[in-house]
Amino acid sequence: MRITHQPPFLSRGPKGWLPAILLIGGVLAASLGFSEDRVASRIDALIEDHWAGNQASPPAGDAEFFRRIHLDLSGIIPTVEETRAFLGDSSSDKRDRVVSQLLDGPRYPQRMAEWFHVHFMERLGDDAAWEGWLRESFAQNKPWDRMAREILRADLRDEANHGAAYFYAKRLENYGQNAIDYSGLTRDVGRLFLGMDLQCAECHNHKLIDDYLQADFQGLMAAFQNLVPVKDKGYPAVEERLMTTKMRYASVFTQKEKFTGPRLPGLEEIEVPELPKDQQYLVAPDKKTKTPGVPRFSPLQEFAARIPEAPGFDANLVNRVWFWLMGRGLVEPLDQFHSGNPPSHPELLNLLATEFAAHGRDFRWLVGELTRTRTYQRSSRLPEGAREQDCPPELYLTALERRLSAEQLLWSTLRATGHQEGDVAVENQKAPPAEVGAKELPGLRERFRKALANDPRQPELEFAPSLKGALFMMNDPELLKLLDTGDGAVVTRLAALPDDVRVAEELCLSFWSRLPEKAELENLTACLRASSGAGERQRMVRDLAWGMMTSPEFVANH
Amino acid sequence: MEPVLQCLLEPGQQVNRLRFSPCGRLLAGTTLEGTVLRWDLGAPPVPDAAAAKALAQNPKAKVPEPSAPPSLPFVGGHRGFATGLAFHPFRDLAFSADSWGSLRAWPCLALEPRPLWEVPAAHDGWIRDLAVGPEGDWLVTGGRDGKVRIHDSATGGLLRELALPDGSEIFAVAAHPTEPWVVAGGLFGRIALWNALDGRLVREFDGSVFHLLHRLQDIGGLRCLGFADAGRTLFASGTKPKGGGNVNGHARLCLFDTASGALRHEMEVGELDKDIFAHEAAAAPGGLFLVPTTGQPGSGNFFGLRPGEPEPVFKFNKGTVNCHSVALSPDGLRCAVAATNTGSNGNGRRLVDGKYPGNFSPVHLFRLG
Amino acid sequence: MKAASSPLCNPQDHQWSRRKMLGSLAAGAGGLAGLLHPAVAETLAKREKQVLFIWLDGGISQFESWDPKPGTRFGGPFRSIPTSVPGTHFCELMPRTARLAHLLSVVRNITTKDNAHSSGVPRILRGDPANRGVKYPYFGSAVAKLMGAGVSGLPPYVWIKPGNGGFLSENAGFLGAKYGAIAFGDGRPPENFTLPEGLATAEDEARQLLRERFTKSYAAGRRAGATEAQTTVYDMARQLMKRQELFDTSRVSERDLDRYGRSEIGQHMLVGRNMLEAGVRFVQVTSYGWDTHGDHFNGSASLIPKFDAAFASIVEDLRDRGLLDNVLVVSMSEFGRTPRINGHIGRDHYPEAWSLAMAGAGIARGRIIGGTDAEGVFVDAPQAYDIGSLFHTWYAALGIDSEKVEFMNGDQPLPIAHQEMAPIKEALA
Repeated sequence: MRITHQPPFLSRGPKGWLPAILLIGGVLAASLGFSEDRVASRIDALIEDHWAGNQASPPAGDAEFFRRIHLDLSGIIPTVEETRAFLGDSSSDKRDRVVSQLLDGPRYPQRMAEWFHVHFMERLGDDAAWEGWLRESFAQNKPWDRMAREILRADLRDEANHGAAYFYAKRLENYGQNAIDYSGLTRDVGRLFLGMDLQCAECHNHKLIDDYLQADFQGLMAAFQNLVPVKDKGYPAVEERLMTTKMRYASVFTQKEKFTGPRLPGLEEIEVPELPKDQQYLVAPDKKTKTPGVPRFSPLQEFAARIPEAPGFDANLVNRVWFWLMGRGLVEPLDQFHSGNPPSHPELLNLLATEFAAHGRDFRWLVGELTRTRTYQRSSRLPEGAREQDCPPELYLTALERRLSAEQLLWSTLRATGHQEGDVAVENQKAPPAEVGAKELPGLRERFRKALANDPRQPELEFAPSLKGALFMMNDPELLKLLDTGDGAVVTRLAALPDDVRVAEELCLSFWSRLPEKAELENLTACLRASSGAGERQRMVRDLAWGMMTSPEFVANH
Repeated sequence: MEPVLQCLLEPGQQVNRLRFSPCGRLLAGTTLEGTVLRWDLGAPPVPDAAAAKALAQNPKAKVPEPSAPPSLPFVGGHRGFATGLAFHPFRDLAFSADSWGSLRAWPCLALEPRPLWEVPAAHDGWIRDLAVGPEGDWLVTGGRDGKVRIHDSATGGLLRELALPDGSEIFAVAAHPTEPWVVAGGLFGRIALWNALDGRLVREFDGSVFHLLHRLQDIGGLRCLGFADAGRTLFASGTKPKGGGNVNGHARLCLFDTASGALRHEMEVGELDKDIFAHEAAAAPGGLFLVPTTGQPGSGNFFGLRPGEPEPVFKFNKGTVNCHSVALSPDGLRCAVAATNTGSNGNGRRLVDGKYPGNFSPVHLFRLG
Repeated sequence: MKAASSPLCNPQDHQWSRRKMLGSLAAGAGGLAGLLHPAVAETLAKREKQVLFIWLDGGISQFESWDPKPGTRFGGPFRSIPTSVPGTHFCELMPRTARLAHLLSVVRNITTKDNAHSSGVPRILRGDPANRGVKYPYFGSAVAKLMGAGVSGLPPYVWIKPGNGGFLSENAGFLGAKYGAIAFGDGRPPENFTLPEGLATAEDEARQLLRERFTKSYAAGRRAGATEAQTTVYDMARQLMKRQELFDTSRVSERDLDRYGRSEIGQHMLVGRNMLEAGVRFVQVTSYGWDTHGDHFNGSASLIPKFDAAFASIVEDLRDRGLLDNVLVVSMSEFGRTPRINGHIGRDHYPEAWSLAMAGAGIARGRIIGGTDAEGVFVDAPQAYDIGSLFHTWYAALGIDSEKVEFMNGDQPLPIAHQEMAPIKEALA
C-alpha cells in the first residue's frame, strides 16, 4: 500500500502532475474504504503533493493506530480486551468504525475538554465550572463559533455558560500588588483565537512583522480594558464596565496620540455610541448589593458577534487541531499567522478552514476527517533505510511523536496498572476509577500535573520530558503503589499467572497496547523463567512493568 | 488649611535636606553633589506686611506674588552626598555633614563662609543625619558605620560614642527640644533614646515596621526622627517596606509617647506603592504634621496629617513630585518642600542638546494656614 | 522497514536475566557503577574547563561596584577604595573583592542594546547574535552543547536560583530541550529526590536496565529526539540522586558560612561551589532583586557587601584549590544603571556604558579594560564592547575557536557568537 518509489514524473515540479497525484490519492483512498470526495482524501493528496522524490513511512500497523486513536479521541490507551478484539477483527472498515465509535464514545467530551483546557488555559489554573462547561460543550458538539462566542461574551446573565468566563476571569486575576494584566489577556485572545501574537505591537507597530500593527493590539485591548473580575460568586465571572469614549493610546516612537474603539484585527472599528446618561445601562449597577451593572453598549457582545468574520478565525482553529493530531502546525509557530510566515501547505490550510466553516464548524467532523487520513494513520517509524534528515517533519512522511498530557498519562497509567476497567464513567471527572478511592484520585491527579505538566504560560507543544517528571516516575511512592497495590493491580495479578508467555503478552498489551514480537517474547519469558520464587517473580514482573511504563513507548503518543 | 504656594526656587541640584535658620532669614539645603545651597529670605518676611494684612481680612485676596528670594553662593567642601544640616539655636552657626564622613561648622550668612572647624572623619563614611542639642553646646551624628556620636559644637571634638543595641547602621537621629536627650534609629527599625550627657540608654522604641528583609536586601525604611508637642511625642517617618530592588512600600508616620515609649499612632501616608517614602516630616503648630512623600515615577504628594483623623488635613500635589525634605520656618508660618523635576526617571541615555542632563529639586515655598 | 527484527533486542542481548544484571552490577562491570567517586570527580574537575556564571538579575550598578566615580555629579554617596591592582579603585562597598583585583579582568566599556529586562535578559544571555530566525541558546546551554557534560556524570548546565526550580528547556533555544538548565530552586534538591522506601539501589539498577532496553528497542528505526530526551532526563535524575551531598549545606563549616555570608547569595554560592567541585560543566548562580530604581544607595549598601562576600569567597576558594586556571568566572547583569539619580533616589537601566568582571580559566589577571568618562556617562575608550564580544572572549577563554566552531541547526550552520564581533584580546591570558 505504501509508495516506496515515486513515479519519475512526480519529481518534475508542481505543474502537470496534480491531476495524476489526485488520481493516485483517489485510488488509494478508495481502496482504504473512503469515498473519493471525502475531505480526508483531498488532505492526503495535498500532503503527498509535496513529497517529490521522498520516501514515506508505511501505514501504521493496527496496534499502532489503535493506541494512537484512543489516546487522541478518548485520552487514554485502550484496554487489553479492546486491543485483542481489534487485532482479531479482520473487517476492512474497522479503522473507520473505531473512529466513529470513539467520537461518539463516553470519553470523547472529557478528552476534548482536557485538550482544550491545556491548550487554551496553558496551565494558568483549573476550574470546575469551566471544565464542566467544556465537557458539556463537546458533549453537545457545539460549533466552534458558538463556543468562541460564549467565551468571548462571558455574560454574567447567561447561567448555562457561566464556566466560559474562566478564560477571562483567570487572566484578570492580579497577584499581590501587580496590576491586572490587560495586555496579557489581549495577547492571549489574539494568539489563541486568531493565531496572532501581537505582544510586540502593544507600544508600536511590530518591528519585524509588517502585518502586526499597534492599532490591532489596541483595538483588541479596547474591549478588554473595562473588564474587572467579580469575586465570591462561586463560579468564574467578569463584569464589563461602561465604555463611553474611545480608548487613547500613543506609539512610544512618535508619541502621537491616537484613539480607537473596540476592533477585531482586520475588521471595522466598532463605534462607541454616545448615550444619554440615563440610557447607558440595561441594568444599573447597585453598589449596596454589589450587583454589577450591564452596560447597553457591550464591546464583548460586539466582539462575540463578529469573531467568526475575523480573518484567521477558522484557519487558527484548524491549524491548532491539525497540530494536535499531526504533531506539527501547517503554520508554525501556531500564533504567528502573517504574510512573512506562510503555511507549509497553503492550499491545505485553505481547504481545511473553508470546509470547517462549510460544515458548521463541527469539531467531530473535523477530527473525524483528520484521523481518517493516511497522513494521520502513517507509522511513526522512519521509512526503511531512511535517515532522519530524509524525512523533514513539514512533509509529514512519517507520523510525528507527540506529547501526552499529564491527564492522558494519568488515565493511561491507571488503566495500564489495572486500576480502571473498561469505560468507567468519566463524565464527572471526580468519579473515581474502579480501584482508586475517591479521596486518592484528586491527589494523584495533582501529582501527575505537578510532575508532568508545564509551568503556567509555557505551552505544552513538544514531547519534552523533564527531570522532575523522571524523578516522579522513578520515585513517587503513590505512583509506584499503583503497580502492585490493590486487587486489580497489574503486577499482583500477572505475577500469580503460571504461564510466562501469557504474562509477557499481558504486560505488553497493558502498557504498550500491542502483542510482543517474537524475540521480545523470548527475552521477556527468559526474564520470568529466571526469577524463581513468588517474591522474586513478583519483583521481576514489577520491574518489567515499571520499565515498560517509563519507556517512550508508553509516555509518548507515537 | 491647604498651604499656599508663594514661590518656587529652582536650584540646579538635587536637595537632600532643607532647613531654615533660627532667625528665619536663611533657607539652606544640602545636595547630592556635596554642596549646601542658601537663599536669603531677606528682612521683610514673606509675604510682606501689607499683603499679610490683606490676606488676614480675606484669604482669597489677590496680593502681589512675592518675588523669589536671592540665592547666596553655595557652600562647598563636602564630598559625596551632603546630608545632615542643622543650625545653632542662637549663634550664627550651621553644621553640615556628608557621606564621606566629614562634619563641618560654618557661619550661616557669610558670603563665602569658611568653616569654623571641620572633622574630616567624624564617621567612617556615610553620615546619614545630624541634630543639635537644645542649648547648642553639642550635636549628634549617626552614620552607616553604626555609630552615634556626640560632638562639642564649639570644636567638633568627640564627646561620646553610642551605638544601638544591635549595632546596626544609623538612619536618623534627633535631639530633644528641652532635655539633654538624643535619639537614633537604625536599619532594623530599632530606635533608642540616650542621655547625651552620660550616655545612659533611657528607652527603646519599636520601629520594626520600618524594616524588611526581602531576598538579599535588608531594607531600612526609617528616614527621619523628630520631637513634637514640646518633646512629649517622638515621631518617626519613612516607609513600611514591601519589596526590595526598586523598593516598594507604604509611607508611614509613627508617633511614640516619649515618656513611656508606647506607640500612639501608626499612620499610613497616602497610597500603597504610590506614596512610598516619607523621607521627612515636620511638626507644625496645632498638632499638624507636614509629610511630603516620594514614589515612582512621577508620584509624590505633600500631606498635612493630624493624628487620629482618618483623612489628611490637606493633600497638595501640584508640582510636588518626589519630595525629599520639608522644613518649617521658626515662626511656624511658612514651610519649604524640596521636590524633584518632572521626568527624572527613565532608562538609557537620553541626551538634551547633546548633553546628558542631571536632575534638580524645585523648592516650593508655602505659606501655611 | 525493520519489522522483521525485534525492536527489543540486538542479537547479543538475547540472553539476559535479572540475576545476570544484578551480578554484573555487583562486580562493578555495569555501565553505571563507579562513575562518581568524589576523588575521581575532583581530579577530573582539575583537568576540565568549567564555568561559574554569576547573574545579578535586574542590574548591579557599575558606579557602586567596578567603576566608581566618587565626588562627581552622579557619583553617589560612596567613596572608592584602592585595589590590589595599583591605580585601580573599586567602590568602598566591595572591600574583599578589591583585594582580589589582581585575579580579575574588569571590563568597563560595555555598551549593549536593550534597556528593558524582559527583552534584555534573554538577549544578553543568548549573546545577541544577528537574527537568523532561530532562538539562540543561553550561554550555559551553548557550553553544554559545545563542551558536553564532561565525565562527572552530572548534568552540564546547573542553575542555582531563588524561588522555583525545574528543568528550563527554553534556555536551550534551537539546540533542543536536552541542553536546557536544571534549576535548583533556593539551592534545594528537586522533589522525589530519593528512592522510594524499600527499593534497594541494586533493585533500582535492575529496573533501570530494563527501562534502558525497552527505550532502546523503541528507538530502533525512529527519530532520535524523543528517546534522547527521555534518556537524558533519566540519566540526569539518576546521576543527581547519587549526589545527595551536593545539596547538603549542613556540612559546610561555620567559617565558610561566615566568609560567604549567611545571605541568600552566600548560601547559593556555597551550593555552586559544591557543584563546581563535583565537576558540573556550567554553574549559574542567580541573585534577584538588583533592580534598584528607588532607594538605590541604601539598597546598594545592603546588597553589594553581600555579593562582595560571596564573590570574593568563591574566587579565593577556587584560587586556593588550584581551580582558578580551570574555571571561568563571570559576574554580570543584563545592563548597568544610569548615572543620573532619579527622584526616587534610584538609578534606572543603562545599557550605554557599564562594567562586568571575569576571572579564571583563560582570563588575564589584574587587567582593567576600557573606561568611561569622568561622570560615567559615555564610554571613554577606542572601542565599546557589546555582549557578542564577550561571548567570543568566553569561548576563547574556554579554548573554543568561535571563528571556526559552528552550531548545526539541522543542515543550517550557525555561528556560535556574533559574526561581526571578536574576542576582547586584552582580557585573555
